[in-house]
Amino acid sequence: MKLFPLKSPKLIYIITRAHGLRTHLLKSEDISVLSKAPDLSTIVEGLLKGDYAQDVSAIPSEKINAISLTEVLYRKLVERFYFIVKITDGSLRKFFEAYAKRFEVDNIKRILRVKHGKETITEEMLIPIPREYTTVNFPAMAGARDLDESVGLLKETMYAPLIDKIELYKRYNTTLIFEGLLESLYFKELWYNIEELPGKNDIKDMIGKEMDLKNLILILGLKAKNLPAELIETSLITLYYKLNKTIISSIIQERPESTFPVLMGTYYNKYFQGLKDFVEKNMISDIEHSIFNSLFNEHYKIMREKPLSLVFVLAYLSLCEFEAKNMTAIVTGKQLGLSEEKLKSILFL
Amino acid sequence: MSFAVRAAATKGVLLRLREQLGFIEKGKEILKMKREQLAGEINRLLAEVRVRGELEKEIMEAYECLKKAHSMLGYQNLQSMALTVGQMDVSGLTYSVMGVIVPELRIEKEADISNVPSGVAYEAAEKLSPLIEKIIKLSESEAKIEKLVDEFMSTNRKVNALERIVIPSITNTIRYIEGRLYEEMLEEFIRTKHVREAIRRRKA
Repeated sequence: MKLFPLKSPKLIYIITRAHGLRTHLLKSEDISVLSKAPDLSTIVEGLLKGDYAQDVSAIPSEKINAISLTEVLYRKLVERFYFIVKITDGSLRKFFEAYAKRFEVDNIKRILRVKHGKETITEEMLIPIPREYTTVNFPAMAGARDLDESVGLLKETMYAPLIDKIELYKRYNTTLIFEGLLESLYFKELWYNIEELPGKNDIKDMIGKEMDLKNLILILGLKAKNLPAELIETSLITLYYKLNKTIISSIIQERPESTFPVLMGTYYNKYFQGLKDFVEKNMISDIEHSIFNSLFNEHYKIMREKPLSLVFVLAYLSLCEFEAKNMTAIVTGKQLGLSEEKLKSILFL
Repeated sequence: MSFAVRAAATKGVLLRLREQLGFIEKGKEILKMKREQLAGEINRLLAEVRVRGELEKEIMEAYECLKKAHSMLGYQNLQSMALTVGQMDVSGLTYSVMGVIVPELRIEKEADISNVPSGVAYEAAEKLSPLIEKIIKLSESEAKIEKLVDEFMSTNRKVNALERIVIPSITNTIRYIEGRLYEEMLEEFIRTKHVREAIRRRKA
């Protein structure tokens, strides 16, 4: 008889809570039904029955639109993430805090893009992160005169290395340099915090795959734009899981028609099966959707196969994120009159 | 006809009217030539404007792409990505076609979409960016057509007025004055004959 090591009560508690929280998520069937709704008001009616009820009912009826609903969806997503942070402590809390920094990274990216475009940014354009969980002063960054000043405000945070990239940004005049570095810093911090976790291999596998696949999608996207190899390399995540510098360099250097065989030679070949046409024709959004859909199904599988592991909690958070993306697609698609077929093709099911 | 009534039937007026008629005939020919040139230019521009239907189709396709990007990324995220697109520079000039001042839009710098970070947003930008250039060219052609058609109509009215009112009126006046002058000449001739007869009778 195989004996399993006993799990700490804290770990059991958080896994149990995640099992309970999982039941609050919309099921694939719910998403399918909502995607078939004739209009936005039917979707709102559907949302009033679930976890979003309180926030959705707080929106005045004349202000119900895709933007206000997306705000609610992301507020709920952030709330779900930080609820997990709240109920943990020690190394677990540190890890989940680091994991939730993806919202912080996203907000910094948005601010830098707006500053690059010399426009002003409003609060509604940012993901609402509770002040106590962020070291970044977003209102100050948003109010900064220009991009230099905005980046300068990151001096006391983990994103301080961005300041050194200002010269490079000015040379290429693209925020992709900052975006790549932000992702690198995020994953480095996250990777560092995995080490002390129980069942770290499963978590490393989940995070590592996401990191590597994001990198591969990024390379394909940047190659499609015919950007110089040096700029592509600077815009990538500098941490690898099952990839290495040689593979990355060969994908960057390869001609578009020879990229696919190289991808098939990597650990991630199963994610690219059936995507030959998309890769050769540079259909990046389709590649991205197909890969993330595979990840979505994989995370579902993790929840089924590893219900007593910490990776279950991580998979739950990932599914929360996919739910927010799906619901954003549904509410925005409905408002814009996107056909049912097209809407279905962009959902993660 | 008012010309005929008002004009004094003198040789001086007749000469002046004949000069005027010659001048107006020349003017009419020039206006006709201008009208033909304008018609030619309008026809050429109409060929450019005919792509509108096709362009509208392309715009609808690009909008579908944009809808997809909006849905996948959300308004706020896509809005921030849109700001990474390098601004397009368009300058407006004017030049003259047969005396008509028409606008010309010149794209000095194309929109740089290479910084758009997301794949789906880039695809939408890739479809929309060349369409914006086409829309600018189409609006330029439409504005030109509008100006040229205005001028064409005005020239046409002028030619018609000359052909149907001014020239016939002057021609009638000339004919009237010629008639009057002929009658006066006959009167003068008869009077001279009578005078000569009276003198001859007195001498006899």
